[in-house]
Amino acid sequence: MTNDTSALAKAPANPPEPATRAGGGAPVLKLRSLRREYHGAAVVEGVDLELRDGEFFSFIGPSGCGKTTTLRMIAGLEDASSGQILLSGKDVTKVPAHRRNVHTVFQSYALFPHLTVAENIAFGLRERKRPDQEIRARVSRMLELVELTGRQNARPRELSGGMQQRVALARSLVLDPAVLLLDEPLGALDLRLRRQMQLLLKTVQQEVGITFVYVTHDQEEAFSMSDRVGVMNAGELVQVGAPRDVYERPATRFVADFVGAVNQLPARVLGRSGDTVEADVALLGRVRVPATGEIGAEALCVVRPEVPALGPADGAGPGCLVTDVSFEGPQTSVGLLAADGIALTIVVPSHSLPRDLATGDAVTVSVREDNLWLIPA
Amino acid sequence: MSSVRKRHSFSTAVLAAVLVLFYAPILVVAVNALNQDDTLNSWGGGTLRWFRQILADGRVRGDFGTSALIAAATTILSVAIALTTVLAARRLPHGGRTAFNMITYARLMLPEVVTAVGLFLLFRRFGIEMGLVPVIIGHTLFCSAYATVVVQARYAAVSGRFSEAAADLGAGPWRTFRRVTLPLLAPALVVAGLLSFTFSFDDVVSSVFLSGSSVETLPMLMMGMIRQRVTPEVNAIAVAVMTITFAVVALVVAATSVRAAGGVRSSRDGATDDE
Repeated sequence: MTNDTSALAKAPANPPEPATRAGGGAPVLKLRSLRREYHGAAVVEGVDLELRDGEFFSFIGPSGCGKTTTLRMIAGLEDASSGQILLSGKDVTKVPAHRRNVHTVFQSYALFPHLTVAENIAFGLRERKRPDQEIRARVSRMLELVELTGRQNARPRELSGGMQQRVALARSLVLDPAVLLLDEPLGALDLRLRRQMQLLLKTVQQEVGITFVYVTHDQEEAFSMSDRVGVMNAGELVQVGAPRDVYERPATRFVADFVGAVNQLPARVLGRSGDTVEADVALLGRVRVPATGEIGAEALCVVRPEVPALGPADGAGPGCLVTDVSFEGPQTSVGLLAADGIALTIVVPSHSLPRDLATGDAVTVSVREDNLWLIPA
Repeated sequence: MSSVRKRHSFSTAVLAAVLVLFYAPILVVAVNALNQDDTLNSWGGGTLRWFRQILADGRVRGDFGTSALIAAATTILSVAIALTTVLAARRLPHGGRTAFNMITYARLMLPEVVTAVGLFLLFRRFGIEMGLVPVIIGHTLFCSAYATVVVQARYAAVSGRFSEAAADLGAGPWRTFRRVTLPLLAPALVVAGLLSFTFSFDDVVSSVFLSGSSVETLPMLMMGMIRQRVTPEVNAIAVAVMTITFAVVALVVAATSVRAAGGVRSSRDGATDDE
């Protein structure tokens, strides 16, 4: 459904990417037409993906979109119904989990309650029959990395959620995996702790240079940490790209909704030249938008909430009534109602908002055309 | 407000009645075990005579040994059966697992007299003489069901995520079992063992049907004794059995809490890595 060719060409699934922190390493993980079905119904379908060495990649999507199942297939905890998983060039599709050089940080942490922190971290090294001295050295280095030095003899239940999370991270990282999988690892933490852990994860990832594959339903979290994100919906990978590309140039209506592009105005393509099309957009009139599309095609014009600027009632641009002003700290969210019944929600930096703006005020909005985007209707 | 208080006082009354009705008989037994008056109609002063008497009684000692032997064998068999069947059941398809549960619960719910008679007829059909082994089999039949329920509940709580995590960290199936599943199941195995032991130790029905003429267990002896009249010795035996049972349970509880406390303590004195 998301793959059908509509009259309006959508953004390429892999837009040319800006140089990322990770650089252009060799692909460490390749998924080819990966599919998983339960009782005949596909929960993951046709997932193709290449991850470079050292990349921080996030799967995002609503619950039930297949992101965790995809992760579990990479880990080997779930069998692929068809398709291929290549790890460092080797086909591991049929290799059992305990023989894959891929390790997981589970949402529930799954720390072994009968073992101490140090024993938990040493678990995998013991399986690999590393000498005691090496195990001790690597465990204490890991404890340092995740800032848990001194807690090595504690049992998991004596630690806070954030600490347990760090033990889970250390337990997997110590094995120096080709790819580290993280399944909503911050889901159980409160907001403040989440922010701290996000920073820690990002720092650790850059320090160790291991490819991270992260699963979350929180697109902000994914955007702030990832080199690239992949948006999943109903088992399919809908769009892959750098966070900013996905945010500014969503490929489909689903992606636009998911990344928070709340304003979508009906539009029609009138003409095209080069990289832009001319479109007739409700409220905004004729605009030139960076997109491609067939002449005459129905489309939706995405107006991201931070794009419109507010002007005085007698300013240029369409007039609106203020229906809501919600102060949120650094920014203020303003609800607007335009003449023809079109509602807009916009976000304005609080410092640039007129102090006396109130519900019922008349204002005008203006947009820069190159900040608009067209998606198939 | 007042209705809340009324409900409250009603439930308190029920609780009090339950405590009195359930525990008063035990108290009476305990008191009478120390009662000098052997008619048990009145308190004739304290004595340990009855305990001395049962300790000196060869038949009591012999039957105690028999019961302990049967209970020990039953415990080992029951826990082993519980562990292996629970581990085997996880490989079954969903329908098979449901059937497995139903069969387990059937062993709990069937009247013991039915299973005992069934076994009795079966053994006789094959010319197997009643005695120690048939009693152990009879006890294992229902004790293993209790043990299975206990082990299975714990297994359901610890299986999925921990064994997945172990596999993810590179442990094969056998290593996962040794290093993760078994240690996590240990408390349940202990509880299952205790249950099996006590249920086997005080069983009468299966023992009566399957012991033949040569084997006599302690509960069988007690039943025989009270048939004529309730003697102080029976009370003393009951108290002795109760004391031993409590001692074992207390020991296990103490052992587990000491281990837990040890975990806390070692985390506090911290810095040395005793890996």
